[in-house]
Amino acid sequence: MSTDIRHAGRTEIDEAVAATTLVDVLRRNAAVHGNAPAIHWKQGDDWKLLNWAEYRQVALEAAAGLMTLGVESGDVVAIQAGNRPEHLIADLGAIHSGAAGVTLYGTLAPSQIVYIVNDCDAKVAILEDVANLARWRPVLAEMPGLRHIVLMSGIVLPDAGDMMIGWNELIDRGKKALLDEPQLVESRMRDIEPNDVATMIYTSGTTGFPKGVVFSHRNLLWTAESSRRGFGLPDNLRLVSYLPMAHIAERMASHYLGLWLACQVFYCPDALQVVDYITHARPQAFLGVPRVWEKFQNRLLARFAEDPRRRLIMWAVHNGEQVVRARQEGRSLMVASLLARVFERLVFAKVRAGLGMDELVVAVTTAAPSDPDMIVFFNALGIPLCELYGLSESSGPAVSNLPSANRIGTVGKPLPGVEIELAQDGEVLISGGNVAAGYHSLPDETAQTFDDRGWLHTGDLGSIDSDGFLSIVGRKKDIIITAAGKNIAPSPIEMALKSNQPVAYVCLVGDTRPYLTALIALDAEEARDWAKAKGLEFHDLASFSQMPQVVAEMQIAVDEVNRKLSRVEQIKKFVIVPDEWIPESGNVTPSLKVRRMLVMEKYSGVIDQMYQG
Amino acid sequence: MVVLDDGTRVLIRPIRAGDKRLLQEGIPRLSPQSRYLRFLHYLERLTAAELRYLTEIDYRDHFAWVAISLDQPDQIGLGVARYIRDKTRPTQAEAAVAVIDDYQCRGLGRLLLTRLADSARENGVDAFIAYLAPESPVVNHLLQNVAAATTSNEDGLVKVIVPLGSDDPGPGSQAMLRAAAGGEAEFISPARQVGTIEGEPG
Repeated sequence: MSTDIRHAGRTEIDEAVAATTLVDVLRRNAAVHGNAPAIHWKQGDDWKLLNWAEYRQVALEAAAGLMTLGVESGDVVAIQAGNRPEHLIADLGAIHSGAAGVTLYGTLAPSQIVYIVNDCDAKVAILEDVANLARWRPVLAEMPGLRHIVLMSGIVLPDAGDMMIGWNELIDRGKKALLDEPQLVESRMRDIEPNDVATMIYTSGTTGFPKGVVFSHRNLLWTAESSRRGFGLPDNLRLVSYLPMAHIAERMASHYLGLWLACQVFYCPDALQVVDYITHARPQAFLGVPRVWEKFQNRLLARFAEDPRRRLIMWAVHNGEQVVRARQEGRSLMVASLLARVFERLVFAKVRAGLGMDELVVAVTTAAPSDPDMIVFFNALGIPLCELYGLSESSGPAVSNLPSANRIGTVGKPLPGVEIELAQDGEVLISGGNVAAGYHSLPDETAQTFDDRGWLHTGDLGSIDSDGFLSIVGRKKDIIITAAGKNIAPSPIEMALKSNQPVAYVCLVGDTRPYLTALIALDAEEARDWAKAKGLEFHDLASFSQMPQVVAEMQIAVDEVNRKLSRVEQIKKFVIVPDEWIPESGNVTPSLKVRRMLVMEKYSGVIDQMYQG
Repeated sequence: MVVLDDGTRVLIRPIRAGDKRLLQEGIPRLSPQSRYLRFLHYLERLTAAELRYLTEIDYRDHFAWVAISLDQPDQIGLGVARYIRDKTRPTQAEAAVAVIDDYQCRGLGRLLLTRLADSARENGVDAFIAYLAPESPVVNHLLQNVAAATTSNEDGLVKVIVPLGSDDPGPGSQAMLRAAAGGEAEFISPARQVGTIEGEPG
């Protein structure tokens, strides 16, 4: 038995993007909007911009430069940098040379860099600066397929030989090559097809090895068009780009949507500065992960608390929340609604203007579950925050609430052209032109996730109400999704920690949380032996597990594990639980299978403490 | 002694207290995925206490059969199937199976389970319980193909109860038994074998 939600519009979207590649879109933008600003960034205190004609020109120069470095059709160019113009130009340069641009997270450990670079067989890596280089240098020998490194900023040392060049040199090489052969890049561009690979997003697999999700030009443009129709987005929107380009949400929300709708994107290199960029750019559409919206909310509440008009403001907020909640239940509160209009004029219009959110027509939260109360708060302030659902494997947006149809607590309805279905066990399945081609070089995993009917198995469990709104009720796969929308596979981290005696079990915690923590359970016998070896007193496991010397020793083991992980995967805090996980305790089944959820429930008090302060 | 479908010669016998090393050495021969399907966490080793628990059994409330290779000079353990009686419902027992990756899909799991089911019935057990990870391919197979097993969600795990029936279970029940104990992927088409995911370390 399955529940279908059919949505008209798939063929229309197919037609809208037929025979179109990112190359065609950029060419069109340069021709039609040549003088309009495309990308903005700050250099020191000054704002700089490129219009579409200039943007395209430098992308072609970058493409030519990459071709002189030996980049060929079907190759991959790896990029590790913040959100700055060179990042986008590098990506489009790769595209125009017939290759794909793949962004790596800035926080990856060297061994993770090696894995990804070798998996996608990147020929060239374009890095932001020497800080990135410091992590690549020690493992260059382990990436024999990597031929060149391009540094966006910083000095390239003479001893680097031909392997390393600076960004300016890449562009100069490209200009020279185009002078010698004006049709150089055109000849490559001619052969690029909609089903060619445009990018890959590396996402965590349950056994710890990242999987490269493969996207064609068609996947990306189809998804952008679906979002355009769903949200009713006009052209030339102002957008702020600040989340990692290694995440599908950012690539889709600013880069691909930016191209498809000829938007002007303000590139913010440091997510901590996003508020300043919003105030300057006054974006018309904005995407954030729950953590970002939480921070905004905290900042606003703190500001309200210091405002001399705080009683009025908090009255306005509570009133607004009442109106929103009533509307959710299908009721309208006459008096509160009238008051809300007054408060809109007196309070909220100014609040939004102060934030830079006075032009915001579309505000989205995604990548991890959001607290419904937080969504109510922003809607009360006149910011139409909607929760959106999607995965890397669905090119991002698949299902979403809209300002006109926002059922808080659900993730909305399928976007145009997208269909969803619930499998027998409640797993959410997605079909549409946004479903990615598969995982790079992983035929078994691909077959398991992308079935032969063309449906994506999301690994999330859902329910659909009588009006067609989807709610995500649980997760099938063993993945942690932090509040920042980062997917983390607990397995390699747990395994590494468990190899230390006297650790018997490790349970990694981090779902919807801002960082990872761990519950560690010891084996009583091994703990006793270990205590003897270290000259510590052992009376019973309960008291032993709380001894400062024991905790300190465990910290050393945790630090060792953390050294091989990226910053977001590191275990920030841990607790050694006072009991043994044996069948009698109920924490494991008689056959020693761990009951993870039961354990998390049992120790929820201890876990909550690790996230306070 | 038993010969598998592909000619491999295997000895199947009840587990003994002296089999601790056998079990410990079997862990690295299980891929991380197979380990997860069996234990629902990614263990590297079994502790001394766990090894005692798994090998010093009473053959009544806790019974286990091991399969040992006769084709290899060092007789390595190839698989284990065990049941442990549920204290609160003594006619039910939790069953679990693990077969090392290199020997999966050769009928070994099925064989071990058949022996285990016989021992279970002899000791007054009439149903096996299995706890499976929701993402286990076994669960999907169960839901689609095996009508008689009851499944429920318990603490995020899928709990399956399979009645053992009397005498020799028919092919339907065989499928149920295989599916219920997990860790075996015989019934899944060759293109989707568990434990052969590319990119994993040896």
